[in-house]
Order: sequence, then C-alpha cells, then structure tokens
Amino acid sequence: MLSPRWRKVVRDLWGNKLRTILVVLSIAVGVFAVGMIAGAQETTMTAMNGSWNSTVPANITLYTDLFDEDLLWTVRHMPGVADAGGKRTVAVRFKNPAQLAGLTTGGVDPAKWRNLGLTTYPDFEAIPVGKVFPQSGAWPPPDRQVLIERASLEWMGVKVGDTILAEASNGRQRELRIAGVVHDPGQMQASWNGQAAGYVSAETLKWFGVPQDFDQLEIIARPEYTDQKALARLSQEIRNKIENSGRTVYYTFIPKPGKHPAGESVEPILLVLGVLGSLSLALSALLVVNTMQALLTQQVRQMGIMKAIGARNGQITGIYCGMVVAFGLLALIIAIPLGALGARGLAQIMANLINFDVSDFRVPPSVLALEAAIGLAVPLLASLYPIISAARITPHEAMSDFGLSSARAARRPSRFAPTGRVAAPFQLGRVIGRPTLLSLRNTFRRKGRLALTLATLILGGAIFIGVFSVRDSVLATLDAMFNYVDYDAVMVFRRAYRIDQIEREARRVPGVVAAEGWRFDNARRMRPDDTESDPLFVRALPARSALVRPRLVEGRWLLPDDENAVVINTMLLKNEPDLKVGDPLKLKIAGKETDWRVVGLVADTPPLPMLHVNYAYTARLMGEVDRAGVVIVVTEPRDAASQTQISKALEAHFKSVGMETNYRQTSAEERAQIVARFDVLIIFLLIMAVLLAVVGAIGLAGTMSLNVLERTREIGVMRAIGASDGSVFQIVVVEGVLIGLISWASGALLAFPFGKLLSDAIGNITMKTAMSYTYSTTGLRLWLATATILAILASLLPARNASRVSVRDVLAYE
Amino acid sequence: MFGNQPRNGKGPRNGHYQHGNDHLIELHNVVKTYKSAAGAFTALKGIDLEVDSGEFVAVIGKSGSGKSTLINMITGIDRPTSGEILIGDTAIQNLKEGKLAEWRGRNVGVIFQFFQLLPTLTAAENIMLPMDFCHMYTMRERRERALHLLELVGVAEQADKLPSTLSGGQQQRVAIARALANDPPILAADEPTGNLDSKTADSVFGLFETLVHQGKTILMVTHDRDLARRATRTVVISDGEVIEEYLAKTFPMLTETQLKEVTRNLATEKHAPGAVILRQGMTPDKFYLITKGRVEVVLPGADGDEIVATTMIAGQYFGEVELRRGGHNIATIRADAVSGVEVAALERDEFERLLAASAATRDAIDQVVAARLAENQAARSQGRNHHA
Repeated sequence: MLSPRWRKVVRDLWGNKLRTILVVLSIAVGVFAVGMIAGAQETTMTAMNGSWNSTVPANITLYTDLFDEDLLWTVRHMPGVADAGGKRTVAVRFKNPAQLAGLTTGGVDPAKWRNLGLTTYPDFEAIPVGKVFPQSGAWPPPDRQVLIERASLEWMGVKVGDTILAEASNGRQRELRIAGVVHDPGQMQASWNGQAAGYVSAETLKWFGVPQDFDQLEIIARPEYTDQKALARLSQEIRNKIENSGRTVYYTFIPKPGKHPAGESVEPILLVLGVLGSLSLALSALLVVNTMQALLTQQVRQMGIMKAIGARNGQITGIYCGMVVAFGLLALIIAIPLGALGARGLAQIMANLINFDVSDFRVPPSVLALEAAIGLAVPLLASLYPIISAARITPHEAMSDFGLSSARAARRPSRFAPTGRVAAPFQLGRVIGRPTLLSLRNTFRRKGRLALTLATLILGGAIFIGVFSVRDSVLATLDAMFNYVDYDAVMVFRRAYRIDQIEREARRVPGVVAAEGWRFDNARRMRPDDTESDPLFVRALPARSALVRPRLVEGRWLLPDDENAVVINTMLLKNEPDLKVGDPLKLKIAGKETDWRVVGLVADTPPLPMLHVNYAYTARLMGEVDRAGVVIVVTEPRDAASQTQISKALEAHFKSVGMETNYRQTSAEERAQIVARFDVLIIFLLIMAVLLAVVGAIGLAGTMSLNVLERTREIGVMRAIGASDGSVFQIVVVEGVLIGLISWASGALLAFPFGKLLSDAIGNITMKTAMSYTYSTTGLRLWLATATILAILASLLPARNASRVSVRDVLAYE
Repeated sequence: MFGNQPRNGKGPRNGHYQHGNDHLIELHNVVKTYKSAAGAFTALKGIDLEVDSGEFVAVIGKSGSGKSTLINMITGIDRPTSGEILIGDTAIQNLKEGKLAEWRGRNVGVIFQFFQLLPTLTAAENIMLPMDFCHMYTMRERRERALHLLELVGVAEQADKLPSTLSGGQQQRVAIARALANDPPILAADEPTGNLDSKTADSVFGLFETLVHQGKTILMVTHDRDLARRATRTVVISDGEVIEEYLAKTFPMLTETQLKEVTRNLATEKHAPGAVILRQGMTPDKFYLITKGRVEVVLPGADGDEIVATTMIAGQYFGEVELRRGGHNIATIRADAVSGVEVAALERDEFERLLAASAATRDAIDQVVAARLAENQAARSQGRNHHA
C-alpha cells in the first residue's frame, strides 16, 4: 500500500494532466532525440558493417593489366593469401526502354546516354571475395542479359524484363534484357555517382567485343595480417608477383578492415545529428527546469502545510524528486518506443542511401541504458536545485505568500515593464491599448521563467534558421563551384581529337559561344610510404583558359610556361592531408609515374579530389600533343533547357563530322546531382530543427499555462471589474506572441554564428573546406511565421482557460 | 488517549522543565521584525507569555496586531528575531528547520483558518500524512487511527472523500483531526472558525472545549470576542504587545492604546505566601492589580491581633483608596498564606495620568474607593463591637 505522501505524488500527476503532459513531453522530446540518433547510429553502423562483411570484402584490391585465371591461381597460393578473386568492370553507356521508345521519363533526356558499369566474375556461383547476392530473377546472369544492382533500378528507370540499349567504348551497341536484380553491398545509390551497376557473364562481355580476362584482383589475407602495415607488405609481394608476369599494377587499395567504405561519410553526419540531438536534450532540460519551477511555485503552500504538520526538508525533497522520477518514467514510456521508431526510420534512410539491409531493429541495450539515464537523471539534475530551494523555505514563507500583491512580486519590480512613471509620459496605454499594455507587463513579470522559455525558443529558432543557412550556404558554395569553371556543358570524346578541330566544330553549333579542349585524366598519388591514393581527377587545361576562375587559397594559379606545376583543390586534402603548397608530388597517370610540384591550392571546386595541370605539358607527357578528349563549352542562353538543347545539338554535330562522343553533361545536371547529395543531410537537419521547434512550442505552451494558472485570481479580479472574454483572451495570446517575437528576433541574431558554425562543420566534413556562408533570409522569414504560429497555438488553450475563469472560481480559489 | 505533555520531555520534574521553565509554554521577550522593501516592521515587540498545560487560551486582537505571528512563533512555523520560546523541555528557537518540523509534527497540532487540507488526498489520507512524516504508528494503525479521529470529530463518513467535496465545517473538522494525528499535547489554531458560519463555528469550538477537557492545551487566535470569552483565558494583543489580561478585563472602558500604555508601565511583582505588600499606616505610592494568586486584607483587631477582613483574587486591585483619597493605608495587604501572589504595580504618577486620561475609569475607581471606605469603616466598627 502506498503511503499518503506517495499517493499525493500520484494524484498530483493525475490531477493536473495538462501540466503532467507538458513536463512528460518536455523530457520525452530530449530522450527521443538522443534515443533516435544513438539508436540510428548503433543500428546503422552495425547493419552497415554487417552487410559489408557479409560480402567477404577484400583486404587488398589491385587494379592491373588484364589477367587470366592462371595468375589468379598463382596469387591464391601465395603465402599470406587466404583467398583471391578476379573481377572485371567495363564502363558502357546505356539508354533505357522509355528512352528507346523516345518517351521522356522522370526528367531523363530520351536522347541521353548514361553510364553503366558491367561487372563479371570468373564464376558467379562461387565468388570468393566481394560477394554479390541474387535478389530476384535469374542467377547467374544468363548470356546476353544483364542483372541490375537494386540501388540502380530507380535511377535507370527500369524493371526486370525490360531491355536496355548498351554501347561499349568500342562503339558496339547491344540490347540487353534485364534478367534479374542483385544486391551488391559495395555499390551505393546510382544517383550519387551517376553510374548504374550491372552484372553480366564473361560471354556477354565477349559479345561486346571486350576480352574475357579480369583487371581487378581482390585478396583476402590470412588472419595474422591484421594491421595496415602487414597488409601493405603483402600487397607489395603480390604486386611484385604480378609485375614479374609482365603486367602493370595501376592501383592498390587497402581499406580499413571490417568497415564499410561509406562509414567515413556516415559517421560525421550522425555526429552532427548527435550534436543537434544533445542540443534538443539541453533544451528539454531547460523546459524541465522551467516547468518544475512553476510546479514548485504552485506547490509552495502545500509544502508549507506539510512542514507545518511535521515534514522535514529531506522528506519534501524526496516527494518532489519522486515526482520528477515519475515524470521521467512516463517520458521514457513515450520516448523509448518513439525513439526506436525514429532510429528505425533514420537507419532505413541510411540503408536505402548506402544500400544495405537492416534486419535487426531492436534497440541496443546500450541505447536503452542511455535513454533511461537521460530520462531520469537529466530532469532530476535539472530540477534538484529548484526542489531543494523550494523545500528550504520556512512554512511561514510558504504560507504567507498569497494575495494579489504578494511580497515576492512586490520585491521584484520589472525594469522592462513600462509601469507607473515610466509609462505615464508616453501614455503607452493609450497608444497600444490597456490590454496590450498589460500583456507587455505580464511578459516580464516572471523573468526567470521568461528567460528559460526564451532560451528554448531562441535556441530552437537559431538552429532552425541555421539549418536553412546551411542549405543556402551549400547552394552558394555550389554557385561558387560552378563559377570556378564558367561552363554550360562538357562533352567527353571516345578518343582524343585535335584541339583546333574540336574548338572549330563546337563553335559552328548555334548557341555555343565559347569552347575549349581539355584533357581529363585519372591519376593516383604515389605516397612517400609507397602506398597509393584513391583516384584523383586531373584536369589538364590551358593556363590562360578564359573559362576558369579559380579561388586561390594559397600559392598561385598555373602559368603558361609551367611544366610540372600542379594546383590542387581543398577536397584533395581530405584524402591527402599531408600535402602542402611547395611539396613535390609523384603521380601515376595511365600507369606512368611522373613528378610534379604543388604550386597552388584552390577552393570552391566541385567536391572531388582534383589536380589542375598545364595542358601543353601534360599532352606532351602523354604523347598526345595538341589533342584533347574533352570539350568545355559556354552556351547562350544559359538556362538549363537551353544547355540541354544546345549540348544535344553539339553532340549531333560532332557525330555528323565523325567525332564520336562518349558522354555529355550540362552544368545544371551536375549541379542537381550534387544538390541531391546535400539534400539528404539537409532533410535530417530539418527534422532536428522541427523537433527543436516543437520543444520550443511545448515550452511556450507550458509557460503560458503556468502564467494563466498563477494569475487565476488576477484574471478573476479583471473580470470582476468588467474584462470581457475577448480582452482576457487577447491579453494571454498577445503575451504569447510577444514572447514568440522576442525569441524570433534574438534567435535571428544567434542564428548567424550558429549557422556559420554548422555550415563550417558540414563543409569540413563533406568537402574539407568551409562553405561560402550565406545567412538564410528564407529561414528567417519561415521561422518568423513558425514562431508566430507556434506562439498563437501555444497560447490558445491557456487563453481559452483564462477566458473561462469566473469571479466565483476566483473566490473559491483559496 | 491524549497525553498532555510534550513528547520530547518527560514533563516538569520538581515543577520545572529542562530549561528551568515552570510552564508548558513560555515566551521571554520575543521580538519579531520583518524586513521588506517598505522598511522594517516589528510585528512582536518583546512578548512575555506563559501558558500552562490544560489551558484554553484565546489570543485576540485586531487585524495586523500580531496574533497570528505570535501563534506562528509558538508552533515554530516562524522564528523570532530575538527572545526565547520554551515549549516543555524544548527551546524551539534553537532547533534547526528539519528538527523543528519533526518536533512540530509530534508536539503541536496546527489548525488553519482556510483548513489547508492537501487537495489531492482524501480526508483519511490527510490525517495519515503527519503520521507518515513523523514515522508514528504502523501503516495499519495509521488508517485505523485516522478513521477513529474522524469519528471523534464527527465526520467519519467523509473518510474517503477529497476535501473539495466537503463543506467548510467538515473540512475544518478533518483539519482538527489531522492536528490530532500524532496525539500532540498542544493544538494551535489560527482563526479556526474565521471561515465558518456561526453555527458551525460554535460546534467546532465545542470540539475544542472537549479536547481541553481531555487534557489538551489549546491556543486559538480569534477575532470573535464572544467565542474568546468561552476560553479559559484571553490574551489580548495590540500592535505586537500583549495587554495585561486582567487590566483589560477590569477596566473595559480603557481604549486599546491606553491599555497598551498602562501595560507597558506595569511592573510585575511576586510576593511569597504571607509577605506584606502594604502596611497599614504607611504612605502608599503604587496601584496594584492582582494577576495571579490572592491577597488578604488585614485590619487590626481591638486587642492588637489581626483580622482578615477579606481576600481579593486575580482581577481585583488595591492601593487605589489611598492614591485617590490621600493619607495612609487603611489596611494591611499581604500575600495569601498558601498561594502567594503575583501583582502588576503601577506607579502613582502613571496611575494619576491614567485617571486624567480616562474619566470613566476615574469614576469607576472612585465608586470602588467609596464602597471600600464604607466597607472598611463597617469592618472596623464590627471589629470593635466584636471585641466589646
């Protein structure tokens, strides 16, 4: 049987349901945010790495000249090698059935070729390394048919049974029927890199005129090769073995064992979300302080009575701490399942983006423990001081503070409230009306509570506007990126043509106002420790190019006389952080090792690791003097539709003069592709911002309810002297809106540094450089509307309650 | 079932409590000053008060006179700025807040004007709460005791109702039952009938009388002089000062200001049994008001022996005849041989100032003087005749 004091706790919780709901929601929001993000983090990382490891990922991947199964057999039997697999991926381009039928689907240009990587294995039934899993349809891929990776289907706009037209780099076109769907956890969404993944038999590749051999060697090391150094040694031995057979090894890749390669991108995003989750928690703690303070104010008299009948400070503290624990438990009941649901949703979004399956959505015990600790400890810590302070007041103080002009209220005249002498000269009441003047004064009456409510709303607003600023900054950064090369379309030829021919033919097409022939090469950095970097993109361009407007961070841009000078971009520093201006740089381009020197660092380029070199020197180095494989054009007009239309005309023209193109892209398309990547992050951030706005609204609703409750007697007196329902309603709503507006204005100021911090953090995570920071006026306006609407909504119920107060109620209030 | 000694002591030993106090409640020079933005306000100005076990004391005074503050001092709800409050064996001004709360829970039952029942607890639970806080009785006993107390105060059928469903009178009865929860020897009630209609107030008062009859000591603040008259003793408080009880009773025609002033000038004198206060033939210089015990009025017999002409009790006065008429004492006044006496003495100048300020009092005293002179004359001739 519960003792009377605990029965009091239970009945107090039940008796004031609105207050209980507000406190419980305040706590629940924080626990939910943390639970959702921590849960998503755990679930995502576990499932992502689990899915990755289920493929038996290679410890070492070597990209080489073509090799056959004999070499594979030899490598498999090398000491230190547990298993090895061969693989070949051939880049082709394709059009989907709707395109073939001349229909425009999903915004895809019917005439446009898109990229498809066709992969084959020696034996699909026994892939030892980097496994792919059949999902539906045929398995293994039947000859002259293709299986599509599941994360490519949507982007390709195809389904099983459709037929696509594919064209190899040798110009051979083949119709491929889509025979089934596979899951390759190593492949991300096709939309992210603009290339679909397909799986075909060696026979099918042969049908395209591509040799049946392999060019990727995937190695599983023996268990004793645990660290990167040992693996590097092993890879060197394998490399020697391959090179001894007369083949070149172009690139060696040693990933972090057991970790999905996308982990590096996912973790920082989850980290940023985690920070926002913690902020929600902090705000929810502020709310709890606010509500508990108000609750304790209401309970002060009861504390006095309890003390008068024998309760000690410790017992009073115990009762109210018990109440807080009860609030926490109720919040956990709501927050844990919702957090699990949120975590599930977030993990599912991640799973869709990164292409893994989440099978186990159970909340990990560590997350449950974290939620329980937060749900109980945070409110307890937040309210301990108000509880102890309240429990300490003497029964006399507790029971004497009543009446319209309590001693406490009289002791604290507001500096902000325009009262008496301050208001009189301005006759403020006449200007804005007495009820509004009263709202103005009421707003500043409980300054501590106002401060906490404002803190919640201001922080919520700052994050809200800040998130919009991140989005605007992304767009501004993209503007800067696209300003860096002032182009409208880029076209890649199937082979190099003479530059003067390329530029002349391009200018013949109506709408093309400028054209330059460039070289695009892939390179890898040969690091001083003998390891190789991921692929880097080399842009060989005329030093005096009219189209490039680099934003130099350090050093200088290319000069016409430069030979081995290279200008790197900030994104390259993400992978090669040790590089500095002035450093020597060894690059492997098309299997050839060459020496360079870094002369400059540029920012605001597309988010790819990029090297800029002098065209003339590079062409000479590659033995293709005056020839280029890429044309960069400027069109007039420059809108997206014109870009597409002119680039199509350009492609047709090149074809008509016998110059075969492989690939074309407009700047609008490239931009859309990049924006899509950031949108995912922005959506996550917006979810958090909305959550924070909700926290703020709960806080405001709580404050307004408590204000109304505390002023019941005062409202009754106002009614006794003739205040109408409307006046009372107005006084409360105007006060709420006033708080909303103050929070908006202050939040707008705080949003500036906060948005900068967030955008810098995200810029550094995604492109290793701070973004061009743009304060979002859209966010500012949107938050003004949101804050006002939330303030009105939050005040409606308290205002309704206030307008229902009768004089009789007030007389009975004591 | 109700003990009448504080629980933390064993009652007075050899007539004294632990701190040397003779009375259950003793206040010595208690001052309470409140500080506010408007300045300091002294609510109690050096109160001395003694209450014995089993007394039913009504504290009366105007609004703001300090009567509630006085009760709050005695219950420990508020603390004195200076002075000493001894309740049984406990000097409560020395207790820390936690100890004080526990002491209060066990020793003083507090009853408020607005009942102050916790709104979310039923009547029975409200009564069980002090037992819970002070760890008194077992869980089962608490409920049984709560029901018993409710029965005692006549609202047993309301045991499981919330306060909001009860009438004012029922709520106050529950509040009284709550005050009795831990069987404290003292009940302190601040305007307990102030919020009740006269019929209900009367019945609540009747309940207090029963409790006093059963041995409880009750201090009750009230502004209802009719009810106050039913208490065994009245303490009048005005502007933070206690007015001499018998002075107010004896000279009802004095204004409160005059009473306060006179009280301030009264000097308490204690005289041992048989001690002479005024001797016949001497020139008196004080007016005496008996506040406790008795005096004997002694006249000389014809053969030189002494005749006790009369005795006077608390509320009566002497010395006025000589002060008004002039000349020497017409009789010897001495403390009662058994009880001794306590008197409040007023110097001649102050006495004369009082009579100059209050014509009604002067007339009343002059009537008494005339009557006493006549009585004295009669007694003397009776003595002579008797002797003859």
